[in-house]
Amino acid sequence: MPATQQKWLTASADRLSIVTLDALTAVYDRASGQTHLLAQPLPEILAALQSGPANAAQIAARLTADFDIADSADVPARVSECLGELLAMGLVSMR
Amino acid sequence: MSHMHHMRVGPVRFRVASHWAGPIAELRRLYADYPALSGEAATATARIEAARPWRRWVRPAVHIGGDYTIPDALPLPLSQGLLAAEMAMNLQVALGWRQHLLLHASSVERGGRAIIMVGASGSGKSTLAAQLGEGLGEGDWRLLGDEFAMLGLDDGQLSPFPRLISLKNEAIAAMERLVPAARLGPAITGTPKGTIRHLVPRADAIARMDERATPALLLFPTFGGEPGLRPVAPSEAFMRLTDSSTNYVALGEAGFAALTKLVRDVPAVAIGYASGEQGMAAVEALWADLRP
Amino acid sequence: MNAVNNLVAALRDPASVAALDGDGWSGLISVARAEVLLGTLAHRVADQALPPAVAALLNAARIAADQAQVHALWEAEMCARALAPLGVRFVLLKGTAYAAAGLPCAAGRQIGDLDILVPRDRLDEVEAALLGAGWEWVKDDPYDQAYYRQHMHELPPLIHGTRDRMIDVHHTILPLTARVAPDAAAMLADSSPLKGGGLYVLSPADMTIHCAAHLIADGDLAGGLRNLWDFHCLLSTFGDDAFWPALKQRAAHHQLWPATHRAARIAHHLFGTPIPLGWQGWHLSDRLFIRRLTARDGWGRETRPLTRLAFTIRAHMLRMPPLMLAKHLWAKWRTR
Repeated sequence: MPATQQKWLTASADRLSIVTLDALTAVYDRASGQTHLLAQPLPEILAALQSGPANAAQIAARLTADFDIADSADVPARVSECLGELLAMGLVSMR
Repeated sequence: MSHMHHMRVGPVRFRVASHWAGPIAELRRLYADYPALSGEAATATARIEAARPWRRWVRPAVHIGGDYTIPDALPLPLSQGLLAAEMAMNLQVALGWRQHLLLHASSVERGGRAIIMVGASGSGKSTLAAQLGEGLGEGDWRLLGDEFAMLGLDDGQLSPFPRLISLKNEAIAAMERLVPAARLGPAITGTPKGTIRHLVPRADAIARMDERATPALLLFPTFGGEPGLRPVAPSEAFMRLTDSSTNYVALGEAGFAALTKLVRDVPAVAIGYASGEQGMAAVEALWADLRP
Repeated sequence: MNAVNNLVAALRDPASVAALDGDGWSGLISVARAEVLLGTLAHRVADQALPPAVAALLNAARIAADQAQVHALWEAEMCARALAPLGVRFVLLKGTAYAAAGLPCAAGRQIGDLDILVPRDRLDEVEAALLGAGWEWVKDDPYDQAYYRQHMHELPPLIHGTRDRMIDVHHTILPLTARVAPDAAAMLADSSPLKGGGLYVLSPADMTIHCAAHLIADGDLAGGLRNLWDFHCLLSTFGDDAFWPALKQRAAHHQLWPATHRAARIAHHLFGTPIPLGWQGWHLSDRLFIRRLTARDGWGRETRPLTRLAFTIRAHMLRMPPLMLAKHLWAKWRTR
């Protein structure tokens, strides 16, 4: 499977406590006991994954549908980068 | 151990023991107005003992310990025994207390509402709280605590923890002119932070140590910093407060809930000021703006 | 009764705390903290009538211990993810294993580092995978690195760069220089998977034997009371007619029957652990171990320094032949 087809899934909603503070969102992960402060678009990616596993292109499509994103061409690449960060925090995993 | 004193400070029931009579006699004098434990269990035990058995007599060196110890901490000379006892008590709270979210902060109260002041050592948070607590400002402030602010995990209320105030260097002379000698500990010279002198909080702070307060303002003071105000975003306040807490991670979700609620409910401001008067004036101005 | 005996009594029979006055509680709390058993005590006496300040303290201790287990189990999960591409079986040891397996001794137990056992011939790959996943050496000192690799039963400790948690990667359960050589390959082979994940724990007998080795043969008995409580709980959980002969046979196979037997006698003596009649009895030297295990005063301080020194030396002697010990101490002394 090519890397771009890789499907991602997020922690179930009841595992996370999410509090929007301002431009940053505080996330408490009950499984890890860790607190993360996430900047845009990381919280949005977590939210987009709530409707089910998706690859980077599908996540990008969900984001562009929900938000007014001007230049959508490089969105999948940026989403992939963000997924790497979320993976390191244990907030998403690869299927 | 041969010498000991016990007392309650806010929710913490201390017993402090030592090989030496001197530091315990000082504690007994300075904590005379605090409630004794009278048969209750101590929930924090601090010990100041000889670093090596023979060091009780030869060049006495005081090791800071208790239920929790820092193994590599350098011992202090016996002349700094009171400081060692205070540090040992702080250590027990910092490492052992789990009943509140602990913030390394000073705090003052007025009309049931509190200001929490957070900053690194040298930021002036301690002196500012002491000056307000002594009634040197306009308002009638009560000192809640000098070292730790204790935030309730269930209700977000602030529990007073009015320990001795440790005055440093320039702050000492100013206070010596204002308060009776009975409220001051010995001048302890040659510490890593210069000269230190302990101050017993005003009688109201001790008598009302069980009266909690609602946080109303988060203040990040910088003494000697550029004068002026800067609003602090909730996320920045959140980050700085987790950084100043010794038990945030250990408390898990309860700590997260209490802290996110605090930074969302309470405005946060950073202030720079060049003198005590300027600092107190800035606090009064902010407070006036806050009032409904 | 002194404070440490009060702790033993409270763990053995939680109702015994009803007899404590304020000073008794002060001493019990200090000793429980010193032995890193406050969370365990808090779980044991949860249903007892307690003075309000003590109840509040122990309630908070229970919550903090539960939270610490969340962190420990997450660390195991992160390790599993890091090692998944290798397809290597790694086995959780000690506190993390008890918590992952949901064993009674996990209740309130403090868990420090993550300890895992891996096959010795996969050690290099495991090391590389962990270094690639964000773990770093705690000590870069070449002497320490060489010392660990030549003589110890584990890699030099690694710490995770962002999570600040240590991992000890073992390839056997005792140092290579110890005079007994447990069969680590058999322990790995007989380990069993836990439900719902790629995590493995030792078989009941091996887990029990490892606990005894840790208590008697490996260390200087520091923190011994907590290890003995683990051991007591394991025997109480696993002990049935089939378990006892299997345990003895397996311990003999690992050259650890004397350590296991002694731990069983001491646990029986202090905690009333049920053990087979034929295992009971008393060896003169057991008394020394018990004196060491209970060497604390009512302020939580270690007492009986002479006994303690003897045990410190003994611990090193068990691990290292005398000449190597001298070399080790010399190198340590020079770097002071």
